[in-house]
Amino acid sequence: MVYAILFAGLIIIVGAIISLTTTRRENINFLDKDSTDMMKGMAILCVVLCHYMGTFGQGITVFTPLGGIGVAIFLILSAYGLNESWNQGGVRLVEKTYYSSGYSLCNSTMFSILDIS
Amino acid sequence: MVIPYAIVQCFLYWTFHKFNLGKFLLDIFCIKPLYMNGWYLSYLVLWYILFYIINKITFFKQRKVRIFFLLSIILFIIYSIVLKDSLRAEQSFSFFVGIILSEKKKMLSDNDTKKIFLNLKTMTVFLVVGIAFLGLKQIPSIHENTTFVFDIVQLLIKLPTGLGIMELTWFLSKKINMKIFLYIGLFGFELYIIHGYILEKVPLTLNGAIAFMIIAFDSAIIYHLFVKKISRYMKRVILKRNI
Repeated sequence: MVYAILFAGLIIIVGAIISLTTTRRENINFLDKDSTDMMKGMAILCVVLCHYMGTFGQGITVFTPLGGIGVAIFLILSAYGLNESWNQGGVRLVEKTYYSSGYSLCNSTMFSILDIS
Repeated sequence: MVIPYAIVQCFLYWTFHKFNLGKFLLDIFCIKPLYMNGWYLSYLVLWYILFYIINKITFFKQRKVRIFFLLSIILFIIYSIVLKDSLRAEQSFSFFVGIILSEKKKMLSDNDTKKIFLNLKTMTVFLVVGIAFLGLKQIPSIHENTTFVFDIVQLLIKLPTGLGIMELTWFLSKKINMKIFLYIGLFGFELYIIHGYILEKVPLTLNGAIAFMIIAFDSAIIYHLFVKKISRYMKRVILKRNI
């Protein structure tokens, strides 16, 4: 459990320093850019904590479900971001550019993926 | 997503694996990643390809939500029953939920709907459902039954809790300064593709744990800045070609 406290402690200390030195944005909407980044942050911490405790935790399994929960958040946000970009024409712009410049379908798909993430 | 992973693999492949061209190519294109946590990347690529196909075919596009729901069910059955892959099966509906959230975005911004879906009660329900199923999972007959029922229970732990945590993060951000999560979120993907390798190399001591945190977070930040520079350069090249 020492390792979990160490992990949480570090995040809390750094978080406190950051919150003291920066100003909080008012009116954050659900699933706007800032809030999705915060959710991604929360998700990756869940995943890293799960793997970290899996390695250092000496058999403590209480953190294991956090990995899957983090991945679920990541997938939800990926789908949300991808669909939003598609609806706004972001993906198609890159795709169109690559088609017009003679790139293969494979390349254009790969770069569409890159552009979104 | 593919490029940052490919760069990492080009550097670290040699340290962790014996070279095989076929496996290397499958790895860097995220088709069969060799990275210990790489299953997520190939899974995401699969969903991206399905997304692309659905949006390219008008018939499917007009029925996007229903098609994604159907696909989620099919993938759940394939992963759970045919392939016996619980890791992927439990995530079968996550992508679909993201699509719904995007498609019903306007509805969510409506004040009446907001009151129903985005409140502390809904968040609590999500978290309680997740924790309840986590409790249910501890029953030996479910825990030892690594098939369909087990995967449904796993799904009902991960998805509601994930949604609950998303709402919780949003609620907290309205009350306190949560910039640390915002910054971690910015380099989250890089942290994901790096931390497994670092975790494998550090000694299993207190010093190792401290070293892991410092190295993982610092290298993810540096790598994020590097990837950002590359993607900016590529965007410039794309735009030039377009002109």
